[in-house]
Amino acid sequence: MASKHCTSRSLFGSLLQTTPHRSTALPPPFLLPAFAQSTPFSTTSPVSSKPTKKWNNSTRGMSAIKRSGLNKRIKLSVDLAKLPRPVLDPSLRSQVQVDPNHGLYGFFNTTRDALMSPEQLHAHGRGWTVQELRVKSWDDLWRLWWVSALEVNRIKTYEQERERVRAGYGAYEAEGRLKEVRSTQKAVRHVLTERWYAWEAARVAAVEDPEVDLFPPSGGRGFVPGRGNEEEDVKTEKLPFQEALGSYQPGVGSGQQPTAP
Amino acid sequence: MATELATQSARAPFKLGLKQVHLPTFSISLHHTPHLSPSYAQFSVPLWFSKLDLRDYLYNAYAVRCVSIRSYIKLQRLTQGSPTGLNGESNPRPQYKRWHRPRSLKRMTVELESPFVWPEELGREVLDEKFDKGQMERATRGQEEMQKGMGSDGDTVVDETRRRRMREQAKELLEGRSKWKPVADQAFGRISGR
Repeated sequence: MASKHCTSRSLFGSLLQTTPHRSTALPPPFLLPAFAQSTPFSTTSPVSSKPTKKWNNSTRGMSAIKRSGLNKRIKLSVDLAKLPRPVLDPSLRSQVQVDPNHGLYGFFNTTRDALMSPEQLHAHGRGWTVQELRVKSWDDLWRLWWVSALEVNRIKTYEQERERVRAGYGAYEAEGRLKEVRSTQKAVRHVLTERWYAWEAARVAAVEDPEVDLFPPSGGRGFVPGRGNEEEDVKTEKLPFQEALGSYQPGVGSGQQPTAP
Repeated sequence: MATELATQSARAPFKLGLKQVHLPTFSISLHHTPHLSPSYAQFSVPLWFSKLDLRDYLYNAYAVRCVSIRSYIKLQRLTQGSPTGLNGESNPRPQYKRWHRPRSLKRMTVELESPFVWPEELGREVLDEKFDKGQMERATRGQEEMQKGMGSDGDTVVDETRRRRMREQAKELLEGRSKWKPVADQAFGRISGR
């Protein structure tokens, strides 16, 4: 609603604009000078008849904290009455389709039980011994390590769930199973460490051994039997500084007094 | 090996790390979180673990793809007792005034690309049969009652069963339904020579 300031000009102006009846067409003559005024009564400039200024802030007055609701200018694409409602009863909700090959099933046993009973946990053999693992290749040992690691994760997952649900007994059986798995991992690490020490000892020995060439040329053999025996074939080429020195050998006393230049 | 890495990195949804860990010694466990949506999975991870580590671990070990990961560290409350048990015992005994704060726990919540629902929980009958839940509850309750009597205000503990039996025995004696007998102690007569 536009509110106009009421000036005498506007009031009388509206009177003049009305279509007068013929009998009451003109005002009385003594009032004519008043209507002929060009200057308005008020010294303040008249209010323009332009429409009201647009809001600078479209969210003026809207507050989530004060629960003011939405402004009239805001138009929603959704009708508030037609909003979807949550299904509060869990039994009426749609079931989630789980991928049968989901990776997280790796945290469960083959029968995918929610909990492993004490009997199931106790049904395990002994861990691998060092003697049995010494003959295994790196690939086999590495695979065995990871199988053990995933089993450890599995046991810990079931332990955590058993405690959450307060199912009952099973801590002792889980501990025993975990112990065997860890002993397998320890044996694997033991065998790999033994192999590394053997390799390191061999490498250190090879550095000194003349029959072993640690940096053979491509296509050449690392082990050349009888390589160090033929000393006459081994000719040491003189380096530039040795040629410059000539017969002088540093560190060897000549027995002669140095001659003055 | 290089070609294997190359093909794996071509398929991975994120940039794989260059550091290869062949024999990891840590472990992670999956939590059952019925309060969370099936799109989320929560794990207990080592304290030094990062979100990137978990994402990499799940992708390589379990072929599980993550959208996002949240982590938080759960501070443990102060406990009385030695931080480490004697001879590697798992639950060290509480010791008076020897306070310490156990190591904090780190939990990570992962948003999965494909949803996962925990297998159906076991009912009470199955738990009683396989885990002996009833027996465990009775044993725990008995232990708690015993510990109450051994505490500093143990003299305030009242055994209602004993009181009721005493009342019943007194009533029986007064009404003549039972006869008083001395307490049977086998060694009493022999020691005193009577």
